[in-house]
Amino acid sequence: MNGRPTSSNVRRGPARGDENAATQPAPGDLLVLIPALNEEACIEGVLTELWDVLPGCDVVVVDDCSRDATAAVAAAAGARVLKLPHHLGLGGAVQAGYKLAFELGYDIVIRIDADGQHNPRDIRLIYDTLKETGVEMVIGSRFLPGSSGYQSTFARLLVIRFFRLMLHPILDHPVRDPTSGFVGVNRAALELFSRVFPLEYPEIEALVVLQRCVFRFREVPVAMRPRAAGTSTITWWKSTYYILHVLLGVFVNILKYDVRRLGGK
Amino acid sequence: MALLVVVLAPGLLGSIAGMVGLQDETMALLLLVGCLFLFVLFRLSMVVSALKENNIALAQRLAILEFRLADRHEEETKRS
Repeated sequence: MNGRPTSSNVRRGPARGDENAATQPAPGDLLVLIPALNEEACIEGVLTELWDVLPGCDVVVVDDCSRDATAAVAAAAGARVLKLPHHLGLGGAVQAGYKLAFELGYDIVIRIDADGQHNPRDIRLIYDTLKETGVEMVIGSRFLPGSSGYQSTFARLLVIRFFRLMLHPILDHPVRDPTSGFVGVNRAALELFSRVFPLEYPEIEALVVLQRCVFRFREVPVAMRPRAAGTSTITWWKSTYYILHVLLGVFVNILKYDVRRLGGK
Repeated sequence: MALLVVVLAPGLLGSIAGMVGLQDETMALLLLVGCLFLFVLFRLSMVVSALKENNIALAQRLAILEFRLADRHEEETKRS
């Protein structure tokens, strides 16, 4: 099943001029992954902007069983769509994309949100950092010097601060934006995440899994924007559930990996 | 099964009550039933979690195979 990506594996976006061709990632090297749920209002704009910045870049939209026309709009815009047969949640959708990318032989996968919050211009920085530093994961952070734009609501900033403080001793490394969904991984991390990936609210638990497998990550400053259209599905109830779920997930992962390590496996 | 054991060995409840410091055998029976329920719930929860993980893996595999099948079909259509 494994093999290098071919032109038929993943349809490339329309080439919009080749003025940046010399600095573009090689074909089959980079895949941009966009997990989407009910984002028909935003997805076309996100794809258009992405291909303006990276003409001809390989893109897969993972449609997590949207109730609207997200998959059709994305396909009409020129993206390939990985349609999940039923709703799996963010983690399941992202992992499906990672599995596909790994099977198709991609070296680097960068995940962006389908709501337009992430600026595709920052993809290049994440890509270059992955290539130049050799770290397994690069996170686009809203809170580093050099970051700009929208950060988040007060409540979410509190949650992020809480997890930042909690994760520092666990990861033995400061992390400024642990909940960021603007993430790039190389092939080693892709292989790991194809096998093991948290299925709900994956960002923080994925960091713990990565660190426990002695992989490295780095953060780079990115510009974040408010969502382009529609409303967020995150409510107060979901936020509370999120905190409890992630806390439990983090400690289960710590136990799992540390017990294995102590057992010599 | 637990009931059968208790019926076949009526003295067992008294022994359990004595071991955990309960004076009433009925309380020992309730404790036993409670522990049994907890065990069954824990076991079922593990089974459901495993089934959920398998279900997600199957859904992902199905989606990937459909994706690759569509590619193959497209490729063949282009060739012919």
